[in-house]
Amino acid sequence: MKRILWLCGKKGDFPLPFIQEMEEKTQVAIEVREWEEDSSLQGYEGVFLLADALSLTFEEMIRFAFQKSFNPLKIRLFPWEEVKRLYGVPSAHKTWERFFVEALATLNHPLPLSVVHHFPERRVLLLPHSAENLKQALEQAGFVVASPLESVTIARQGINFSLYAPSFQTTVGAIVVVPEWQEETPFLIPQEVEETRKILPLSSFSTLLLQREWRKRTIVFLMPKGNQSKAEWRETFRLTQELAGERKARVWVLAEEVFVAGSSFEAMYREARGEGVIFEKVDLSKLSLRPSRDMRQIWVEFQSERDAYPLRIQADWVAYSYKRTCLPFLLPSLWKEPFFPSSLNDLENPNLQSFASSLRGIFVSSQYDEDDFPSLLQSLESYFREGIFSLSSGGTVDEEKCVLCLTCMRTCPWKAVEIDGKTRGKKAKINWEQCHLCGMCFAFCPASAIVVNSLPQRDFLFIRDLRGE
Amino acid sequence: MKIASLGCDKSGFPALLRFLAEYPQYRMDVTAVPCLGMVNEGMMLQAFENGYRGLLLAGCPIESCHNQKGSHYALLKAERVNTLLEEAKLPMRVTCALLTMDKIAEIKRALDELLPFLKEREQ
Repeated sequence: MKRILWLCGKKGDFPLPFIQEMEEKTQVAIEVREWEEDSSLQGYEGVFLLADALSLTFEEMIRFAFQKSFNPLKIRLFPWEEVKRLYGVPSAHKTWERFFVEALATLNHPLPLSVVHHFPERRVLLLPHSAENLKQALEQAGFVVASPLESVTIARQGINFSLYAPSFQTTVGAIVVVPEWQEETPFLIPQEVEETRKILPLSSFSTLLLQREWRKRTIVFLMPKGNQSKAEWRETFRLTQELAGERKARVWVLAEEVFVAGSSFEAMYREARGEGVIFEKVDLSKLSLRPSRDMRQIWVEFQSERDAYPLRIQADWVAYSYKRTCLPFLLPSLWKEPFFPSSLNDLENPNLQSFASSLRGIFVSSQYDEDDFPSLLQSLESYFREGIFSLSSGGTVDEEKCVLCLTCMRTCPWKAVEIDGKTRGKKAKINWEQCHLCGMCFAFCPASAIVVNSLPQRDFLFIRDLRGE
Repeated sequence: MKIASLGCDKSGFPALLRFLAEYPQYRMDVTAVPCLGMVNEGMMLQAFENGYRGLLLAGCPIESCHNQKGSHYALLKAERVNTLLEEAKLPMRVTCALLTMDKIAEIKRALDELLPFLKEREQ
């Protein structure tokens, strides 16, 4: 008889008659145990975790199984705590019974899958090679930096990257890209406003500081969102504080987002506020600028987040910071396969590790700023140390149905879909080592050619409202 | 009136279960999916065929979806299904609640909009 373990928070939830009834129904030997850190799972055909919904993620379950050296495909999860709280114990028993019987059937039919824990090769390629200070920082932190002298082509090999050159071939686990930044003004500056010569970029404005009289003048700083270096914000806080404090000017900072995260930035922000600098959160795309009649001042009209009506300021000087967009450097041209590693724009996604791009293993040093090197190195270190879990043949493409419309390639947020095969017989192929099993390609495929062989507990877990039945 | 809800297992599903425990006056069936981006139009329409009148999609906030674009795609598809239902003059609706795990008030807001609408259409 098969032995099945139920790991739960409270043993009293499952009375002996209920267990015996279930044993009779399913013809397995059930053992109920309370959750303990050091409990062993060996000797069981299957383990059911009756936990809460928060531990229902794929990654956490696999990590738990690997800790106990148990096959993750033999574990099922059920949000018992929530279901019990929702419907009371008798109704919850019904829901659980239905789930248990269904899940037991999937345990008996093993899927052609296996869970693999990979560790990337502990070597880093730095692009471009000219970023000397970053290279030194990487080497000091103990990373091996691959530095091919000739130009290379890159191909993905599982979670690693293969580098090819005529006389050279190696594998690296991660690529750090130092992209170029395209600088542009955050809004359109009208010609007549520019003619007043009272609007300047931040770097030129700071040189004016000693030359002019600032008493009772109004100065407006315009800061667009994202991708400013920390040095730029530091400069802004220093300038505004000095202007408002010692030089008795009236200072406004209109920003899409004020940068206060990071060492000593919040203190600088508070000090500037204390001196009388006004910070407003403003959508800069709706800002309008026009010169005053005597062309000596600029009218700045904006709508702040707090007020329903627009505000107008007569500014003597306007200083703005550049908006920067990340250019993906030469990366697409270095790629060997027909594959588009162009999406280095999602750098602000809070669910990506900092500096990581949506392409697994490619890190973007988002600011060419030495302040950020320690956190970049930390991200790399945890990427190499923790490794990656993936499911072999998690997603498969039915080659007969595939019409090569490239929809899957465009929709996959992790760029796990590649094009495989010779010129005529090209088909989409899912690189399972990169696949996160989100199922988006499956939902979008117009030819229904994609099948996601997910883990059974990742299949739809259905909880019916059983009150009053 | 039967309501079905689909929640992504990163934030929507735990939030739905928490919501139902906090507000016992609301009743619906809950299903966990890996990501809201995998719910396509066919699945939504299938839910309506199975007798549900309203469908609630609960997922991560749009800018912090764990699969980057999942919630965005779900919104687009829900809109499309709603247009189809409107054209066919069917009294069913899809609504989306994009939230983090602890902001269950968002689900309440979505349901409070959905339920009166469905009742009105039914009459």
